[in-house]
Amino acid sequence: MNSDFTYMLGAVASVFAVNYTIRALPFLLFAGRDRELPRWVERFGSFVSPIIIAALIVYSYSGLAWSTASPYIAGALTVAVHLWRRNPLVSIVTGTALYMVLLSLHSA
Amino acid sequence: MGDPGTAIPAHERRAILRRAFVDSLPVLMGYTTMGFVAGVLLAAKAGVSFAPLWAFLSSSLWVSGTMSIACVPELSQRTPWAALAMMTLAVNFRYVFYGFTMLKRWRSVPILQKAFLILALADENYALEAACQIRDPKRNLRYCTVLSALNISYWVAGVTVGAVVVSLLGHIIDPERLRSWTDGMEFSMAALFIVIFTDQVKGMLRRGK
Repeated sequence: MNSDFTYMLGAVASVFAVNYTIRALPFLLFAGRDRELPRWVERFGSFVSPIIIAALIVYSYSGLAWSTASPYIAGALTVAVHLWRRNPLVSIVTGTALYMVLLSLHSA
Repeated sequence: MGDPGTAIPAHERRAILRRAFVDSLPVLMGYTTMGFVAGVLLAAKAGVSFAPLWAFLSSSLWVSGTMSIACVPELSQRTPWAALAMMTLAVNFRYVFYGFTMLKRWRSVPILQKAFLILALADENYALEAACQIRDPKRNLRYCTVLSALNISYWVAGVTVGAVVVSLLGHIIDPERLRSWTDGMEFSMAALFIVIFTDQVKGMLRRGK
């Protein structure tokens, strides 16, 4: 059990070290520079963030029942409700509720 | 743009807190349920003692749902630390882009506060921060800090409660049944990204006119 404890301590620490370094890397690369950030960095955020969000949609779908119609129907409803009501919480709750219903119908 | 030398008035601070809380509600829904699943899996499948302790430590230090769930089979096989590190690099490399888009915004943030914001740079938190329309730097920073604290606490609570429940009730209730209670809730995270993307596309179309 003692070696188990050591193993888990090292496991938590090594994932933390890599994970945090990835998140901090841009800040480390441009740390301590008094001069202005390069222009490409300044412009990067505005055009790259929609691409990241689009990639996150695809990525989150890989954890869903992506080979069935359910997540796409629920996704379409989420967009429709959002365009109609313009309330993020309402859109998300509605889409998720439909997905849960479809999923339970599918597995029933 | 507000004067950087003046403090934010109390009523505005409360308004920012309220706004961050409302924006975080979808994350509350997704993180507590997904966190619960991750905690259940860790306690039921990883074959480790003191599961609630590891659930708490890993969720608060990683703030990464992907790794919390993906590491469970690896931990049960006692996969070497270096292999876990390589796996983290492969699975979470996308995070490197998030920091790049925040560099300018967080330029003059004090080091400890910046370290905390970086810790919180997970997918959902980043997506909300990137979508935040508060232009004033001080108010934007307050929004990001409050949002980060809320989202991290949801995640840590979900994972820890999941592990505690299995540790206490695992021999009474089948962990698989515990996990199945949340079936479908994972869609809320996809829905959050869809909503943010819809707003971004709408904004681009409006500017394009």
